Amino acid sequence: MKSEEDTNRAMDQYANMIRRICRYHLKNAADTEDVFQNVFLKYLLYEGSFDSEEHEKAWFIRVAINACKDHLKILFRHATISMEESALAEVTCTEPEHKEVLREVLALPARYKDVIYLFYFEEYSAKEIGEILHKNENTIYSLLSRGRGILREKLGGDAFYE
Amino acid sequence: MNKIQDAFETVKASEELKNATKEYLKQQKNKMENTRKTQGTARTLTNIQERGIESHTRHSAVKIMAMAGTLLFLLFGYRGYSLLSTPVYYVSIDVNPSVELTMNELKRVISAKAYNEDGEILLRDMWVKGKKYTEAIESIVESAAMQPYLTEDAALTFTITSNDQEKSKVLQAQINESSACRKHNGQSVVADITHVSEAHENGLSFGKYTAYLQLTQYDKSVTIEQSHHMTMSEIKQQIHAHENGCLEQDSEHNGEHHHEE
Repeated sequence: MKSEEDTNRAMDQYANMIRRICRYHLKNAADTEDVFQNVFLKYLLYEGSFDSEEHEKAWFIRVAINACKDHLKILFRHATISMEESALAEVTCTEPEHKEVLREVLALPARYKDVIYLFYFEEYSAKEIGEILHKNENTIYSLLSRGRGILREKLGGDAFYE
Repeated sequence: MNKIQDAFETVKASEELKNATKEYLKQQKNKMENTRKTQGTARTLTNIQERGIESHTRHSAVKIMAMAGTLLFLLFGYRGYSLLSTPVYYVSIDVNPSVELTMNELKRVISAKAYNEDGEILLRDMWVKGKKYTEAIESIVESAAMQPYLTEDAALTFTITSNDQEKSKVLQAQINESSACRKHNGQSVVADITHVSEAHENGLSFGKYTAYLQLTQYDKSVTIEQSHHMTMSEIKQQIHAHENGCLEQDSEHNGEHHHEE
């Protein structure tokens, strides 16, 4: 079991990243809190060691994405409205110029969101994303390209850069 | 900075969320430590009880009752421990990742082991120990890491074995009914328990080993080494090709050695 010092350090380092992953998967404060806590509980109980900070970060990304997907599966069984609807309903808290971009990223089909986030925000390469998500590099390229296509269609040609 | 970075930069974990999580982790840690302490106290009480029995020889009735109680406790304790920790069922899940679940009498997972690199990656973030078999199978099959392998031509195969053929068949039927199996057109096979140790000696899951043995009935030239590099779908395709070929040429090969559904 990890020490309190370890978990506090990990929280300082990765809390924002986990929150963002929860944001584009879940969007609801109660669900986010559940998953956020669950991710750090997994870290507390994780018996393995990490070769490097990058390895640890990749572990957090993978665990957070899986925890979100598991949570969605449970919600889906009991849901009365679709997750996409609830996701869009809660895009209200950001600056107007960011709101539209965030709204369109959140509206992407689930399979594109992780690669778009990891590529554009975390600035991982397709090869690294493939390693993190355990997917073939070519699959990442094709997900990126389709995700990018959807965003360009919605946001216009300058969707990605100022 | 790109627009997506700008947009996500505004999303941050609040101090409230972080503090609530720290508090939650503290509570969970205390709970786990208390559970450990309670288990330790129970063991100490048993020792004290045993020592007390030895020193009060005059009170023979009390002594006998206490001893009987201790004996019962030990017997039931042992029975309980053995019920929980003795491997009874083995389920091998093979697509290309090959993983094996060992389960107790209550069909709860007592260990999960990978038999190839894809399986290792799959189990790396997974905690299935203690889970009911349906939950464990669903976690594995529905995990994000498994999805790239579940293509249209994938052969998701569950191979089941235990000391009791009837028990294996009941578990097979239950797995066939599970959503993980139905959703991905999984196949199930009941195998001979002797395959388990043979498979492990050859570095394969017993599910893949069972399929390999089936293939060698048609093609003796296939080696164990080759089977390590074949996916379940490739092995099954070769078996089917041979079966179809043999059916045309020789109807004697219709004898099925496995209970496949």
